[in-house]
Amino acid sequence: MSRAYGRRRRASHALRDITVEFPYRTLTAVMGLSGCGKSTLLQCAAGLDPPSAGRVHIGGIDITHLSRRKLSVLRRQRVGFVFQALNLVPTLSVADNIALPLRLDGRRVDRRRVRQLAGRVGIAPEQLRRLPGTLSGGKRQRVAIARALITDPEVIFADEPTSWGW
Amino acid sequence: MGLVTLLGSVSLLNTLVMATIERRRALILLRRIGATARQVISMTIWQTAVLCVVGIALGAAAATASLLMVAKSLTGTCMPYLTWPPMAIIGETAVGLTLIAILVPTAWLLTRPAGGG
Repeated sequence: MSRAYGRRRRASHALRDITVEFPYRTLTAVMGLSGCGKSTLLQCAAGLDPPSAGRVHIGGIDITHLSRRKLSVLRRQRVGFVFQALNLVPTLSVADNIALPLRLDGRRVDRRRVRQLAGRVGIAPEQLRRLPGTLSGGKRQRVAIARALITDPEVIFADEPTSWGW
Repeated sequence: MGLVTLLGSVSLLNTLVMATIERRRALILLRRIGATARQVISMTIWQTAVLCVVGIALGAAAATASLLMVAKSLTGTCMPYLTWPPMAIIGETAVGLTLIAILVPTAWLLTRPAGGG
């Protein structure tokens, strides 16, 4: 797949003829200098940004030509995200942020599971009611990780999750 | 009256457009983690509705308070003279402006790819 920005002649290629596969139950780290196209690769692979050429498959589904609505549904059902910044909705509590993908998908929220997941990533039960802004940056990223896990996604994309900003 | 309405409208539009733009990050995040454009729009419409109801109630309460005093000093009774058509027009204008000020920037945000920002 390729991803170029700008008009044809002056287009700058963030990705040029890349072929990459992430098998199930494996961990892949993408490393490179800033501006080399890591984020673009992730965004294209996760269905956030359409590639200029080529195809993207997630779990056997060709997502390249899916409608925007279907892409949104696919993202919330099969993909988990942890971003570098602006990861959480500031006006929702920690618990609501974790449960957000379930709510968007119209599914029932199992509070016990939210608590359990939060515990797994190191968020104490009494912190679930707090707003993200009252937590430290590291804790906020943990909340984002719990949110990425809540739907049992097939793949999780994390774009520099440890160099958090707000 | 015209000038007051104009100034009020401008400040209403300005406040709401700025407020929506400030929520840009949250809206982009919702799109990224799988909210459909329709979900974001319907959420925004609900929030706008609540805002309109609260805003009109507070505005009417503030206006009533001063109107009562004016009525008392002019007519000796506390009952102000109300005509419904202008009040309806004011209410409709407020709701219309609020809808435009919130939905136009939101729709603009939604036309961009979900990864943006």
